[in-house]
Amino acid sequence: MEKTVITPSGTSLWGYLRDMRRYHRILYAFTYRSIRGKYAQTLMGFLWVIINPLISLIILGFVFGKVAKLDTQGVDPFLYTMIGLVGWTYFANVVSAAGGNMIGASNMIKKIFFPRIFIPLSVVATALIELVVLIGLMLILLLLNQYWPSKNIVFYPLVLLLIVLLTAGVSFFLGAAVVRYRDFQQVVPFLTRIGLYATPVAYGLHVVDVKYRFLFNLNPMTGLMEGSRWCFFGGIFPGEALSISLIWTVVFWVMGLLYFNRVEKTMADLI
Amino acid sequence: MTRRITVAGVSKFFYLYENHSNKLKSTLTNLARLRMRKRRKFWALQDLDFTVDQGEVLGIVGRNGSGKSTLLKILSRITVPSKGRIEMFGRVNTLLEVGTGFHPELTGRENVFLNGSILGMSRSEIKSKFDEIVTFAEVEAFLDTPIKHFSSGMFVRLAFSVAAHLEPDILIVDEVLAVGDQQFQMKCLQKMEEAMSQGRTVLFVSHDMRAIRRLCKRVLFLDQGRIVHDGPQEEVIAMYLQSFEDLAHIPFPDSESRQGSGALRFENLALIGSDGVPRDEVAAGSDTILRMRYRCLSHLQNVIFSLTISSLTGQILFRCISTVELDSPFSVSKDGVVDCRFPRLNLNVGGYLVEIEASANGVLADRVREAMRLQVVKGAYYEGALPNRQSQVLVDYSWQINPDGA
Repeated sequence: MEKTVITPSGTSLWGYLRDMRRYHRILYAFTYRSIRGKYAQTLMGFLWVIINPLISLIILGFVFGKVAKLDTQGVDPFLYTMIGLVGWTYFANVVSAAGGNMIGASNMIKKIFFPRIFIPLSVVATALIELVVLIGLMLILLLLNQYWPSKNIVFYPLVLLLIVLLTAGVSFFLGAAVVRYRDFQQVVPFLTRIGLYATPVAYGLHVVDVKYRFLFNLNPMTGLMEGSRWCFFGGIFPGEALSISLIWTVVFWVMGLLYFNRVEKTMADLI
Repeated sequence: MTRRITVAGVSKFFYLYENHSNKLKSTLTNLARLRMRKRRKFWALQDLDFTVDQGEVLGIVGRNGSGKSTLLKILSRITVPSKGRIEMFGRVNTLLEVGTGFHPELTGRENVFLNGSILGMSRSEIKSKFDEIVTFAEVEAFLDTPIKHFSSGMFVRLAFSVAAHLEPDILIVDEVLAVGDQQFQMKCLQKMEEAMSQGRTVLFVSHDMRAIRRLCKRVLFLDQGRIVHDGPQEEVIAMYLQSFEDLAHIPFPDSESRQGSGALRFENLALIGSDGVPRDEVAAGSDTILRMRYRCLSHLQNVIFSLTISSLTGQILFRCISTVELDSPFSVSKDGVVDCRFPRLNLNVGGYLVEIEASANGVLADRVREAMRLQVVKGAYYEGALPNRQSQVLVDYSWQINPDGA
């Protein structure tokens, strides 16, 4: 027989994992709910997943590739931009939605029990479908350009995994933070919009003045953007930038989960 | 008897902040000035101890703010206690609201599966009970319609129906029976009784003494976060009602706002629910009585009572005058009570001010401006749903469309 013990200290890590197993259906339900809910009664449905990044692609490719004529290692600037946009769009979409989803779920948080981490997790999971669609779009661009990726491509899944992990870590932190401070809900979309330009999404780090590269390297997404391009176009392995991204990922997971855990116990009272 | 729930020394406090804001700015400025936000502890629950055995149905009653909801939230693990320990054995299901997680854009069928899994049912469990759920809710014909096109009644019926088909060992229920029309409410009560007869352990919170009487043998009476009494149903209900009586005998103060000759003086005003007993909140659309107790020393003729409901901002919503409804005014010669009854209280969820007034032979005898702050909670005026709160007054109406323009 199931035994439930309730104390002021909440659950242990082990207890939490057991709860996640016991209530796993809620995670599926949340994910299904947001996927279906998002595209129900939209005429073009999934097309919307492509349209937004497609517009960014056209603008960025045009500005950086055609107007500023930045060096794209001899690759078509639109294709070059697209490789970066795949990972960036996933990151930006999830991170911007993480806080809002927490607030949106406040009624459920107040009325039923489930491991609250399911809310950011379901956002991360929902967006995976959009990520797949974007990868498809990228493959089409590769075909159109008749571009044959470098053999480094075998590492691309690893880079994608890192992007998803970093995104999840940031979402855990933001999910908890927004419960206390609604300000994050306003700040994050703003930051991601700046980030689209401040991060080497549409241009390579090599076009940045050497003096400022360390600043760019502090950005957790820089390494992953450089890494994505390395997988397709080869060149020098961006070891330093990727290690920094890896460190950020670990930091966000540890800090994010610890902070989430602290807020979680009284989340229903705070939200 | 197997023990199912043990609650030992459970307390819970909240911080009440001077001016509540979840803003980063206030935290930062406070940090900068090295001071904490002004706050004080409020104990919502204090030292609760009780146990519940298998198959027991425990009712929990208490006035507004007595800690009932907090207790249920702790038991259902929505929030943690500040002190104490609870042990529960068996699968626990909580029903604090029907339809949690329903998505308006999805069809009835999808929502049954969604809500079912949110409430903890497995897919196969939902599949096997699907037909039963749909039949109970009487929405067979609309299964593939997005529920945003459902009538409010259909929505509530479907939502309750999913919840009613849970099969937990321990069920925690908060006042969710007050949904749907009268007929559906009876059906829900029957369903609850059925569940109880199968040996489930149930914790049941309600303001409705009829439901408590019907379902619970043992009742817990909470007041100001403490257990005042824990005992057999009749005993505790009597105590609970007595607490209203005690309150009712505190007469209105003689304040300056009180006008009139004083030939007749109001003593107090009580709110009586559809179960015929006093309560401190009513559901929209429920049968409600506002009972005025008055003192009168002389013989008065042509007595007219009136009762005015206004919004908290003071705007008058409607006025009920005894001569409008009766053919002739009252004659009064001694102390008594007078009832103003609303068979279907047409007020939306929220707070309202009640003013009462009496006059004799055209002379104002007494007027109490803020005789009561009336609290209205969710109810079944329109088969269970209500318009948004901007619409304070509810009215009967029906829509009809004629495409031919005849």
